Amino acid sequence: MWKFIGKRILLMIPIIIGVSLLVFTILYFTPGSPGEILAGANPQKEVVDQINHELGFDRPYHVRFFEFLKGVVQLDFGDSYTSRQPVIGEILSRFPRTLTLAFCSMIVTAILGISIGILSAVKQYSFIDYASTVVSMFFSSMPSFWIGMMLLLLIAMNNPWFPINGVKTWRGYILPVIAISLCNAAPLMRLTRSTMLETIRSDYVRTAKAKGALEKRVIWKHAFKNALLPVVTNIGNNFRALLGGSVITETVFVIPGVGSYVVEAIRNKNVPSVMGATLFLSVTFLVVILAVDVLYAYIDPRIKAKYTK
Amino acid sequence: MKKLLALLLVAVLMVGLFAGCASTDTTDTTDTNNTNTTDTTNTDSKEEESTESDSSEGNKRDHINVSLSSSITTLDSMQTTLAINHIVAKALMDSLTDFDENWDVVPALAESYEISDDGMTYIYTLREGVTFHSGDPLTPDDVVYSVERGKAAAPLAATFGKYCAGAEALDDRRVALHLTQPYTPFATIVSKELVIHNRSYHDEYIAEGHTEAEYLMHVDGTGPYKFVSYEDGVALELEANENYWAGAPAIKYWHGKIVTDNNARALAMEAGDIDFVSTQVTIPQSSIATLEASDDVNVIYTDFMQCGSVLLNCRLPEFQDVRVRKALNYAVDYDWLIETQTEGKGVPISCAYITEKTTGFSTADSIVNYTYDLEKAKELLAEAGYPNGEGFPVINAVITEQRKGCMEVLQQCWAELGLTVEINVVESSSVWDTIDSGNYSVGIVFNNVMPDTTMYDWYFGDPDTGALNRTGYENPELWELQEQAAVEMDPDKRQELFDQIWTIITDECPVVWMYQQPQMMYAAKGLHVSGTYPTNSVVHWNEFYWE
Amino acid sequence: MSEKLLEIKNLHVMYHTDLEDVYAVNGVNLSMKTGETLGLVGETGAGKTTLALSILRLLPDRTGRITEGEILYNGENLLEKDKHTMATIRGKEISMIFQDPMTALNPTQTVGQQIYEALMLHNNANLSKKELWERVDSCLEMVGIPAARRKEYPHQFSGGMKQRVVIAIALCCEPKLLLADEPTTALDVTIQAQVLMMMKNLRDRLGTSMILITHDLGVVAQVCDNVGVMYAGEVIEYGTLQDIFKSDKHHPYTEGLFGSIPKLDEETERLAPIDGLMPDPTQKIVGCSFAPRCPYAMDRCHTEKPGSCNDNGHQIKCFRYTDETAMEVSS
Repeated sequence: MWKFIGKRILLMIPIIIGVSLLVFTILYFTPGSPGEILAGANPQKEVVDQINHELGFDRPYHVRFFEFLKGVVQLDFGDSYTSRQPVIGEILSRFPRTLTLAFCSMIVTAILGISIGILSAVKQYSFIDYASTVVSMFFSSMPSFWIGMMLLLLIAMNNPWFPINGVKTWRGYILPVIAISLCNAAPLMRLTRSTMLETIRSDYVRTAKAKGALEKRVIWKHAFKNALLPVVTNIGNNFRALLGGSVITETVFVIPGVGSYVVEAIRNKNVPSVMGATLFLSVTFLVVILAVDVLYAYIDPRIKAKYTK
Repeated sequence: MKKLLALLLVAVLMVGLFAGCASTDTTDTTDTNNTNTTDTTNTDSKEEESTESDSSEGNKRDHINVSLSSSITTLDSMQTTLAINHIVAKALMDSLTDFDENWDVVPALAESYEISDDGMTYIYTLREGVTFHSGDPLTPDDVVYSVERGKAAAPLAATFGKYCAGAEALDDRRVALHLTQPYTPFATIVSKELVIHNRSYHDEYIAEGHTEAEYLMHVDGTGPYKFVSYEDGVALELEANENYWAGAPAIKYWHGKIVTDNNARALAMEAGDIDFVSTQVTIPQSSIATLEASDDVNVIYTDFMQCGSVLLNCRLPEFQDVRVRKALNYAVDYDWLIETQTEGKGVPISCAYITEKTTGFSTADSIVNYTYDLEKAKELLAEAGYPNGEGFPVINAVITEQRKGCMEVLQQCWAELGLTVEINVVESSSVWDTIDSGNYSVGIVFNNVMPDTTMYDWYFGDPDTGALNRTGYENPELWELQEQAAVEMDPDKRQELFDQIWTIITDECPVVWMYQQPQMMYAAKGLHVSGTYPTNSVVHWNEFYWE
Repeated sequence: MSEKLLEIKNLHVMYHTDLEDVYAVNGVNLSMKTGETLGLVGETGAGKTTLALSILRLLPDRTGRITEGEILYNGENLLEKDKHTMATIRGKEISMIFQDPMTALNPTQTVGQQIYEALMLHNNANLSKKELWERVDSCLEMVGIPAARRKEYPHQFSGGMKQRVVIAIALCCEPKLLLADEPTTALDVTIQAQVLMMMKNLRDRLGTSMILITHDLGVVAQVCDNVGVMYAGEVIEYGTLQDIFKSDKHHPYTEGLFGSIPKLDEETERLAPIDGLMPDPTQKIVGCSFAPRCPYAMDRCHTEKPGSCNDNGHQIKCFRYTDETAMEVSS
C-alpha cells in the first residue's frame, strides 16, 4: 500500500510541472500586461513599460519560468504584482476560509444527499421517493448563485442575525454552505439512490436476508457499503472542486477566498499570483484525489488487492 | 464504517475550532447612547443590526462602514495610481494644500504659500502644532523627505515628479519647493498628489528590520484617521485622530469593508451593512433604481463628472480631413446616447472635456458645440469626398466590454452616414497597448475631469514635450498656446488662452464628445457626507457625520 | 403434533407488476418429515425457486404476492408471522442457499465475517466473541476450507470454494430445514460431485432436512428420498425415489423428462425433447396445464383440471389415472 502511495506522490511532480508550464504559457501569450492595470486609468506608455520592467515582466519566457520553478522549491512563489506582498502569504491567509467552506459544505452535502438517497431507494415509489426526486431535480437545475442570492434576499435581508456578506463570524458561513450543499446534494442524492437500488437487488443482499438479518442491517452493512464507491467518488470530486474555490459563491457572499483571489489575479495579469495559486491548488487537488483513491482501498478490498499487487 | 464516521466527526470538530479562531470578533460593548438614534429615518432594522452584528458597532454614531472595491495595496498614495488606494490614503495623510467645494486650492498643512516672481519656487509656511499619529511634530524636513519620495516614485506620481525639482527647508516653519520649469497649475498638483510622510518614523521603521514594501502599509501620517489594522481581502480598520489639526472627526471608527462584487455591494447597502459608497465604484444599473427608491439610502449626484469621448486616430488618412471629424460629431444622436447609456442622468458636454469648476472652463462664443444634425453631417461627409460614406474604410473600434453599449449606439448613428463600424472588444489590461500601437480607428475613453490642463496632454499633446498623443492629432499652434497657458500666471490672460485653446480643440475636434455623467455617491440616510474632491473620487473624511 | 416438519397447503404465488401479472405458483400441496430430503425437479420457469423463496418469505417486496394458501412449519403458519419472527427463523430454523455462488457473497466482507454474522444474529446461547469466532473456524473446516482463510475476501476464492462458504453460512447455525436452490448448477461437474458429497455428509451428520431444487435428475438420484415434479407452478407428480425412477406409472411430463435424457447405451442421432413450450405464466390456465403438449391429451384435459391420484403415496395429477377433477379450494 505504501508503495502505491509513494508512487503516486512521485507522479505528482511531473504533473505539477506540466500544469505550471501550461498555465505560464497561456499567461505569456495572452495580451495585456500588469503595467497597464497598475498604471491607472489613462496610462502613458513609458509608465507602463517602466512598471513592467520593475516587475520583471518583460524578461524572456525561460528566464521567468525557471525563476518561478526555483522559487517553488523554496516555497517562495514571488511577490504579487499588485500588492508587492509575497504570494504565498496571501494564498495562505485566504485558504482557511475556502477550506472551511469546502469542508462544511462537503459534510452537509454528504449527510443530505446520502440520507435522502438511501431513504428514496429503500422506499422506492413511495411519496418520499417522488417528492425527493422532484426537489432534487429542481436544485440540480438551479444555478448555485441564484440559490445563493435567493437565500440572501429572503433570509439575510430581513434577518440581521445572518450577515449580508463576509465571513467575519461563523454565522457568515451558514448561508453559503447551505447554498452550495443544496446544489451538490441533489445529484449526490440521485446517485446514491440509483446505486442503492442496484445493490439492494443484488444476490448478496438476498443472502444476508436469508441469514436472518433485519432490514436496517441489510441496508447499512450490506447494500450501502457496496454502494459507497461511486458515492465516495462524487463527494471527493465535489470537495476537490470546492477547494478550487467556488468563485461564484465567494462573489455572491463576498468571502475572500482562494477562488476570487485567482480570478482577480488573472484579470490583473498578476502572473506570480496566478502561478502560485495554480500550483497551490494543483497540489491540493492531487492530494485529495490520492486520499480518495486510498479511501477506495478501505471500502472495497478488491481495489486494495489491485494496489498492493 | 464506524472508523470513518469517527474520523469525520473529529475532523469536523477541528475545523469548527480553527474556523472559530479565525474570526476577529471582539466582545460585545453595551449600548449607552443609543436612545438618541431612535426615530428619524434610521430604521429599526439598522438598530437591531448594530447591536447584533459586528460587535464593535455599539453606538451607531461612532461608526461608519465604507465599501472598498478591492484590496488595498499601499497607503502611500504617491506610489500608486489605483484609485482605491487614494481614497483610503486621504483618511490617513494630508498634503500641504487641499481643495474646497469650488475646487480651489486652500491651505491644509501649510497655512499659506508664496510664489516667486519667476514662478520657479513655491514657499510654504507650515501650520503650527501639527503632529503625526505617532506624536512627532510636523517639520519642514518631513516635507523635504516627502518630496524626495515623490520624485523617486516616478513614473507613478508622474506629474509631480516631472515638475518638481526638489525641496529644501528654509527655517523651522518654511519649506521651499523648486520647479523644473514654470508651471501655473503647480499648486494644484501639490494638493492633488503630494502627501506628507514622517521621515524619522520611516527611518526607524526600516532600521527595525522592516522592508520598504512593509512600510507602504504602515505609514505615519497627519490625517484625520489612524491606522488600526488591515486584513487582506477583508477589511481595513481606522480610528479617529483626536489631535487632527482641523479638529477631530465626528465619527470615531472607520471601517472599510472590502466588497468586490457590485451586486453584493448594492445588497449590502440595502441591508444597511454599508453606509457609504464612493464614486469610484459601480453599482449596477438595476440596483440604482432600488437604492433610489429605498428610504434608507441617499443617492447623491456629485459635481464630479465623468466625460465620455471617442478618440479618433488622426494618423489615419481618412480622419485627417476636419470635415470628416466634424461629420462624425454631428451625426451622433446625443439625446439617444444619453438616454440609453445613462438612463437620462447624463448631460451634454458644453466645453470639450471639462465642467464649470474645472480651471480653464471656457464659455467663449467661439467654442463649437456639436448638436445632432444629420443633414449637416451628410453634407460635410460628401464635401470631404465620401458621399453617403462611399469609399470610406471600415472603422475599427477598439474598446473594452464596458463601453460596448456606447459603441453600438455610435455604430448605428454613423451607419446613417453610410459608414461601417467593426467593434473589437478587448481586455482592459491590453486596450491601451493596442491603441498606442496605432492599431485602431476609434476608441472610447471616460475621464474623470481634473483641475489642471494636462489632461489633453494625453490625446493631442506635443510629443516633444513628453506628452502622449493618442489621437495623433498634430497642431503646433495648439501646442504653442498650451505651453503658454502652462506658465501664464495672470488668471485673466490665462482664461483668454484657454478660450483660444478650447476653440481650436472644439473646432478641430480630434475627438467626438459624447456626454458627461455625474458620478454618484451612496450614503445611508442620516449620514452627512463631504463634497467630492476633484479627482479620484476622494472625499474629506473628517467632514462626515451622522445627523 | 404431527411429524410433519413442513406442510404447504394450496399455495398460490404471483408477481404483480405494472405491465402484467405472472402466476408463478398455482396451488401447490407438499409436506415433509424431519430428516427427509425432498427433491424438487422441473424446467426453468416451473416455479421451484418461487416456491422456495415463499417459504422464507424472501419474495421481492413490491411485486411478489402470496395470494392463497398456508405454509406450516412445525404446525405454525409462517405466512402469519411478523418480520422479526421471520428473521429469527431465517438462518436458524430454515436456511437457504442460492444458485450463483459468484454473486451470493458480499464482496466487501471477509468470508469469516459473513459466517460470523450468521452466528451472531442467532446467538441464543450468548456465546462470547471469541467463542463465536471459534465456531466460524469449525464451520469453515466443516466444509473443507482451512480456517486460516477466514480473513480472505470472496474474490480470492474459486467458484467451488465460494459455494462451500455459502453452504457453511447456511449450515453454521444448524438449521432444521435447508432449502438448496440448484446449488451445483453453476459449478463444473467434478466440483459438483465434491460439493454434493459434502452436502450429503453434512446432512447425515447434522440431521438436517433438505429441499433440493434442481433440474438435474442425476443429482436427484444421488441425494433425495422423495421427489416432486413441478410444471407450470404445480406439483404434477410426487413420490419416493423408487416411485419416480422405477415405477411404470408416470405423468406424461415426467415421461417426457426421462425420455429427453440421452442414453449412453443407445445410438441416436437426435435428442428427444418435449414438444412445445411451457404455458404463458401471465395467463391463468384452464384445464390441465400440460394438455397443450401432452401426447395423451383428451378433450376433458383441456377444460377440467385433473385431481391427484394417490397410489400408496405416489401422487400423479392426470386424468389417465384418476377420474376426479381437482377441487378448487377457494378462499
